[in-house]
Amino acid sequence: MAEKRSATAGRAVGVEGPVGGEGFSNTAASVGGMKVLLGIGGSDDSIRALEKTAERAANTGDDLTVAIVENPSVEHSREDIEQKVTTVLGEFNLDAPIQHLEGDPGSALVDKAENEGFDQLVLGGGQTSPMGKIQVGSIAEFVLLNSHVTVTLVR
Amino acid sequence: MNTRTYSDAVADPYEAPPLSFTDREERTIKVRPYEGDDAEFEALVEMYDSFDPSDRAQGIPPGREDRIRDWLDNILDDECLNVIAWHGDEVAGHATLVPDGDAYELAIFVHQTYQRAGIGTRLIKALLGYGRESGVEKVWLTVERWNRAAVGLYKTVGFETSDAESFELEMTIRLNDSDE
Repeated sequence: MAEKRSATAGRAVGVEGPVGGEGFSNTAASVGGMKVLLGIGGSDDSIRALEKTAERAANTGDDLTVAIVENPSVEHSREDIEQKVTTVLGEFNLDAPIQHLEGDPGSALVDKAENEGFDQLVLGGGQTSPMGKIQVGSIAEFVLLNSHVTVTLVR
Repeated sequence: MNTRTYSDAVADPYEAPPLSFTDREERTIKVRPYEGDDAEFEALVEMYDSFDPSDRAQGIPPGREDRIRDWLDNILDDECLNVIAWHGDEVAGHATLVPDGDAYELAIFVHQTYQRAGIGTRLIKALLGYGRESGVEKVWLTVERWNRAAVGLYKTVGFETSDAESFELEMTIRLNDSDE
């Protein structure tokens, strides 16, 4: 499959905004999409969250931003993760910004989501043990307890 | 990434199944290792299909029959150790050890009809006896910290808390000395 992006496939958001609409600026809200921040640290469940969130953004016109954070329990480098993010976004023809957050991953994500007017903060929904038990990671735990922005855990 | 800590001391040598006892409701309960025949499998499916969702822990048992079957296929694999508590042809409880690197992860479920009758304690001891007899060295589990009954049961049979920093408590026990 050709990876080349078509000229019309820019940011998914705004492309279907009301033409010459009065009183509405060309914001996410005006086209029904949400401003979504996806936090990704490279664990398997965070990769799955990336794929599902990108697919959703491509379908709904959500305004997606991807924030790469340091997950101490993950071995992948930030470069590997960024490569993966770029690939997945490309598959869905999304031109979402990719940013690297420094410092404690949970608090960095919550700060960004709250300070930059995001509607939703999306994370992986936890790893599964050999037994099949779901184990919520430390980043998700912090975010769930501290975020004032709605949190989605992707299963 | 296996950083769990285990006691150096080996836990009490519990009796391995098969064994039987009378529970606090005067029911005769027999504990046997799972042998892999269809009738046992279907009886387990039945137990989990009627399992009260409010007693689920960390997503298991799953809530739909097809998912229950997939999950059971996984944990009834030959590599796993399973014991079942029977009341006649009905499964009262099930406990399992699933391999995870050099250790095993433990889970135990007692059906609501059979709870608070002393079956859980007997069943988990039988599983640990079976594990010890089978050469298992190290066992770990996670438990929701508000589930005091479960935490109490695990402590009673010798588990010690190895990680209290997460949502769930992690507990470990040693059944045999290391080979080294």
